[in-house]
Amino acid sequence: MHTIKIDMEKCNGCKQCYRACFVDVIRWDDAAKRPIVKYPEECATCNWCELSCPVNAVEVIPGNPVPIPEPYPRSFYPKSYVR
Amino acid sequence: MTRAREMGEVFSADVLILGGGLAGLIVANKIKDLNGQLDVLIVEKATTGFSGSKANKGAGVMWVMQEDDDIDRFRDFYVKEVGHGLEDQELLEKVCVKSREMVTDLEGWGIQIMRDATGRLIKLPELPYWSLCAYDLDIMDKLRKAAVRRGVRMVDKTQSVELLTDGGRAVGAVGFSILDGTYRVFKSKSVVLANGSCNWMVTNMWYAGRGDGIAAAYRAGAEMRNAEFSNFYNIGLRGNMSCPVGSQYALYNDDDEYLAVKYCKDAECDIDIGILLGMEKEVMEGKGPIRFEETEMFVQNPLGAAGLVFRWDRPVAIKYWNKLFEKEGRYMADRSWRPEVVPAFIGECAPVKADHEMRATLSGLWALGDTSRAGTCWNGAVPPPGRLRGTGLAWAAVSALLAAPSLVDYAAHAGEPATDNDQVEKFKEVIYAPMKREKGMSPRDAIWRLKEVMSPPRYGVRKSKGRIEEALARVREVLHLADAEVSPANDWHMLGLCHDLKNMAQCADIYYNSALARTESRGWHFREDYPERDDKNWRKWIVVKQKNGKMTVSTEAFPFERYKTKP
Repeated sequence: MHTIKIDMEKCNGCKQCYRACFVDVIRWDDAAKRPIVKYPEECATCNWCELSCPVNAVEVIPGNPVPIPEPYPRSFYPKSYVR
Repeated sequence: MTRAREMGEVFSADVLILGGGLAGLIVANKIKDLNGQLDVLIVEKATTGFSGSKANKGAGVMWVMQEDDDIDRFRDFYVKEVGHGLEDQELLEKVCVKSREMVTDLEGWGIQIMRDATGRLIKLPELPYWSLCAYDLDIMDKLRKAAVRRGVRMVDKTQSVELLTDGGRAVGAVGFSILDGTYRVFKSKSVVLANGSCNWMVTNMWYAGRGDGIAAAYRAGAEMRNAEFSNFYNIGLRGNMSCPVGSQYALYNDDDEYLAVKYCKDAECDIDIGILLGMEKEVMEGKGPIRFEETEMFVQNPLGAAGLVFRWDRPVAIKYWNKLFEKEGRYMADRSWRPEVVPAFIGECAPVKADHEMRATLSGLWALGDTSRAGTCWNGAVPPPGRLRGTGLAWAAVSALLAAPSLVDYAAHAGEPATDNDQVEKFKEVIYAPMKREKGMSPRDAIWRLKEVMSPPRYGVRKSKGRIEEALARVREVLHLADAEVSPANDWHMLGLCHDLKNMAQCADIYYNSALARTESRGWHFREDYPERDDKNWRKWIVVKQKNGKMTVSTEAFPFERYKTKP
């Protein structure tokens, strides 16, 4: 899974990362006036939250490997698993 | 009867735009330029001006036909090499002409378009039939600000789910706040779908395309067309799906045989299905894995054209791409010699049938950009982006400009929308039904099951009746999960994913049923059991519609005799 780190010491509460996220990964804590990384499972690693932050408080760390369904499963492509 | 206001928050508008991406913002700005009095409302799942998958997350380059680009020559090239005779040639020509207006309008809204020293748009010798309209990646922010200045209203963080109808007319939409679950009712004289294609959440950049508008229109009775072309693939590095665009000319099998000579034409304008069929064949024969030789990437690849991304002085784009490449280098790079590549599924299901003014078959409903790219048929037998990079964004803009005058005219003459409160109440029950299941399968797990059907080349590249029926059976299992098994566990974001799941599964159902009906091979539709193109029987489009809860599949002949290019 991808990781989004926010340095709350640096954060100035401008809300830009929350606005920038196009897949609802980052939510806003109205009481604390700070972002919450609530749904990192949906992160598309577009980096717009990080790029939008005026104080460099956000860091997106892409997971590796990204889980995708096996394109050539053994049951259908047996010869490719011989080598 | 309960009044709508008692059921949730009610909003009214002359024009309701679902989706605050490129197409939605352009049509909003254009409508306001044509008639500043109209009340235009954008409803967006994320934040208007940041949303959409491509305008601020790609190369920032649009396809355009400059004044001296020859439309006849382009059309002949397109019909022969890309659309394979299945395109609406008359709309293709209108799109070419309108793309010129697109440049003027964008500049009018404060977007700087890159030009050469003489003031002309960019022309590359590698891409002889068209030109390029490059912009900086702050385009969305600028378009949003232009829309705010014109008085366009915006409701963000709201997932629209169903279309409200009055008889056969679209009169609004309903949805919910993804933040606190508030039910929202939008009444409008007209509704514009601008919320993108369905990409089944497989590849990063296309992650937001979940078919919301397409599936809602289908459920409301609108026709879908050309949906069998919903299977776009790039080539991606195994493990991170980073797509080296144009890498089809740099692939080898495990015996060090060069693949392009067997499976690609010389200097293809963009990736064709041949290399994907070829990669799978090599793997089937035990000659995999397929490997990528980075040093050869730009040898025959027109898209490599002199490093498009860093060609112009675009501060935001340069910052964006440097960041992306820095991350890839630090966290994702496969540093092995000739790393393995696999088909990277993108999808791009865009089947809402629309006419030359982007009117869908439901009165009062318009479909723009990636909701109707295939359904308008101008791209022929190929999924978006139509093997012409930059036409996805250009289509978002051009379709918006084609639609705006008729939207303005409709708003001036159409009567006030009549909302059926029973329908509003029924949809409220439907939308929140998954919340009653406090426990159950996570929608993420069900989405994974759908991805397992959609992305492998077995179901997306090399099709046959048997394989399609197998895929359809699995899609129906997912539809059952969406209807009866998934639980959002009392979370509004997860409720959104429950609806995404249902919408994506319905798009898959439309796609595979269309693919089953087309018993020939043409363009990106390859049938192992019908490997030849069949012009005698298949100069037709396939139309899918829901009637009384059942899917109907029919064909529609097109006026080929009127078209100028005869393939």
